Amino acid sequence: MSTNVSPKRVGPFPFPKSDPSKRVKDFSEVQQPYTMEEVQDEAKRCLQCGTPVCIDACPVQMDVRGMCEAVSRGDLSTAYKRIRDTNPLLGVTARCCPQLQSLCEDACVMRWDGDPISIGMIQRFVADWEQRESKQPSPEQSKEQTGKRVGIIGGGPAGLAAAELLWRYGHAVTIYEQFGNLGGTAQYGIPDFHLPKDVLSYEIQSISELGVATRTGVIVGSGISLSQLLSDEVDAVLITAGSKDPVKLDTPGIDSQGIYDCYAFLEAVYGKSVVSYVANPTCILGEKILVIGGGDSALDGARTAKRLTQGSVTVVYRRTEKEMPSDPIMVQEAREEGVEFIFLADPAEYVSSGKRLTKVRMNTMELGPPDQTGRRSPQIVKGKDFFMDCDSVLLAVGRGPNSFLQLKEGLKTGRKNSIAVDDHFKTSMRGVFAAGDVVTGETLVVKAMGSGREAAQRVHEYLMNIEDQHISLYETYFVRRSYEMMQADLEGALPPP
Amino acid sequence: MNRPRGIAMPVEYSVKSELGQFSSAKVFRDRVVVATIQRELTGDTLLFSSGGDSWRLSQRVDGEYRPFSIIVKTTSPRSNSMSVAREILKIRDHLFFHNRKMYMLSNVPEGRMQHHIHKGPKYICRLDNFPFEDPSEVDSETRSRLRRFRGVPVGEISGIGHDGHRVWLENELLDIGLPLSASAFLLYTTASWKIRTN
Ligand SMILES: Cc1cc2nc3c(=O)[nH]c(=O)nc-3n(C[C@H](O)[C@H](O)[C@H](O)COP(=O)(O)OP(=O)(O)OC[C@H]3O[C@@H](n4cnc5c(N)ncnc54)[C@H](O)[C@@H]3O)c2cc1C
Ligand code: SF4
Repeated sequence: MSTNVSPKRVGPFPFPKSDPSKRVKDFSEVQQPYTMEEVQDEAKRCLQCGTPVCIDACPVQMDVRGMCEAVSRGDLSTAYKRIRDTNPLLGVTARCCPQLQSLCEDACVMRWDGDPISIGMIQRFVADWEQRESKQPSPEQSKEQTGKRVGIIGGGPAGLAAAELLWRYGHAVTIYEQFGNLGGTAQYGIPDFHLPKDVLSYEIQSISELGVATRTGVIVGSGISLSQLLSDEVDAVLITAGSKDPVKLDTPGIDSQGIYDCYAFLEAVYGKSVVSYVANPTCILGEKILVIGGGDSALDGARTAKRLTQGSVTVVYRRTEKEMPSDPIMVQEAREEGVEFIFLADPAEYVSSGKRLTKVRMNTMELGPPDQTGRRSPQIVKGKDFFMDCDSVLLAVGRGPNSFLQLKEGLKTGRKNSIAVDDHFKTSMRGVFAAGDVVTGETLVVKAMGSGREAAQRVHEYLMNIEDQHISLYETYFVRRSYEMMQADLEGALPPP
Repeated sequence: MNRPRGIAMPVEYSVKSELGQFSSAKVFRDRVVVATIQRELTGDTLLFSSGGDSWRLSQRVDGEYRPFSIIVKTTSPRSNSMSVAREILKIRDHLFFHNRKMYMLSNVPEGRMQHHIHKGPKYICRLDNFPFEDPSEVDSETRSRLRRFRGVPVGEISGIGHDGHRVWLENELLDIGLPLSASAFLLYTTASWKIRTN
């Protein structure tokens, strides 16, 4: 390994991007890949740490160090095998993880001296190579079938990651999904210019091909109840129903025509395909669009609206840019595409002519004392309200866990009607477990996957009556994936999963 | 050694492991060796101060190995095998509670842009309004959103282990300065434990 190779980063960007003036006219991918030579050079910068903090920071303990070691030798097959072992959505997470936000690249020790390794870009290269050039063998299943059946409710990232792990433990797994496609919010929310859908579909298909059964178009809690499922079809249930419930606002005029929930808008655009949405649009955006919110979804909504209308799109956030929860990389990309930002403003009233929205009266805000998160809370500056003309508003002010199933079935709930679970991911109903965003509220694809995998392990231990033998997935990695094992090439000899 | 930036903090520790030295490091305070760190085959680490105190550091926290977590306990001196190991610091998921206040390692201070910390130092911050008093009690929702919390900087860490991992601390963390510095070294920069030299 060598540290003499120049990093590829330019400012906070670890990757080349497509031309903003061109990409804003279509939905093609913004991030552009490295070449084989570049990716090998980047992998060579990895120090091969004895205790790799990059893996500590990864919710699915992806073998970053092993990947870099193999890629630096040009051995993409070994690299793929190493990272695919714990991460079934390689191409998806390579593109969607904000690696510099408390994940692998933020932890990488190279950031102390210079630039962290561009882990996401190396991972992306390996995943794309496997998808486009050289299909590799799937992960192995445990030799023995257990004869146990597990039902997973929700086919998003948490459900998919859990399904694969439960299958590898030797159980018969069925995913019940209300929509026609699996993928959850990665399918219905994350824009194509960020995550091309062929990447997601390919990885979902690879999981299905293992032998994970899927039943789409089934709403558990509506057609079939949890207790019916448990008595007739499965021995244990894992709920991974994600986030859904919109935050209810009571701002005057909120019911005006032209105000849309940003998540519903994104679901309408990306749920089937952009082409079918454009043929039959459900939101009348006009040419002046305001997006309210400061998270990644607000930026996704703004950039989608910009592409659809080529109009003027402004993100309005009630704090300053410093407090924005979104990834700074996304903010910069949005700016390059012509999205504008107004900070320290918050809607006070939606004004319409007839029933149609025409403008928003905005409060000017200032930052007061810190709230529970330590961020300074926005407060209204009296007498400084102002008007902004607009044709439509997209509300991206957060959404809570999908509460439908827990309320319908009487499961114990936690904050914002999330499903309450104990340390073993058990809900208040025997044999029913829950994980992912329906427990934590909206997080990240990779965090939902990590939670799904941990819950899957608990389901397995419950079914096999070995709960007292629990060793966490992190501990298993920590103990088994040692530097010596990798050097001696003994990792392949480890039993699945 | 000069701090790269920020406000002056009274105490500076530096933890340095030699290249090729895979299981030991020295801790300096104001350039004087004040302790040594020794990795055991069990995976635990021992910290010996020049004053004769010693501590055991383990990543097994609340019953299992966890990332970005460490527990520091006193070790009983050989002369007194009856004395019980006392926990003096527990870090779980970057969080630790000390003198009735919650702190977070690797936190983004209030008022600072996230991308300002993609390079350079990481911060130890006091989380004044944090809704929990024990890092083990933090609920899963809060745990999954720790990235959003912003605190008051009371410490700064920077540098890779074999160059010297530097830890600057405000007075309020001084009483745990040594174990905290050793923990920061172990949790955030231990690349140097087994760095490849070829
Ligand atoms: C606009 C937007 C952009 C985002 N961008 C990113 C990003 O760039 N990077 C990132 O890491 N994360 C991103 N996220 C967050 C990420 O998508 C989620 O954290 C993640 O998808 C959560 O996974 P999950 O499996 O827990 O839930 P979901 O992905 O929400 O999946 C839940 C699934 O359960 C199904 N379901 C629910 N109830 C039932 C029922 N009763 N019966 C049957 N099926 C049911 C749903 O239809 C859905 O398919 C974004 C989120 C949004 C909204
Ligand atoms: S922390 Fe960085 S340098 Fe160390 S193994 Fe991980 S990617 Fe490589």
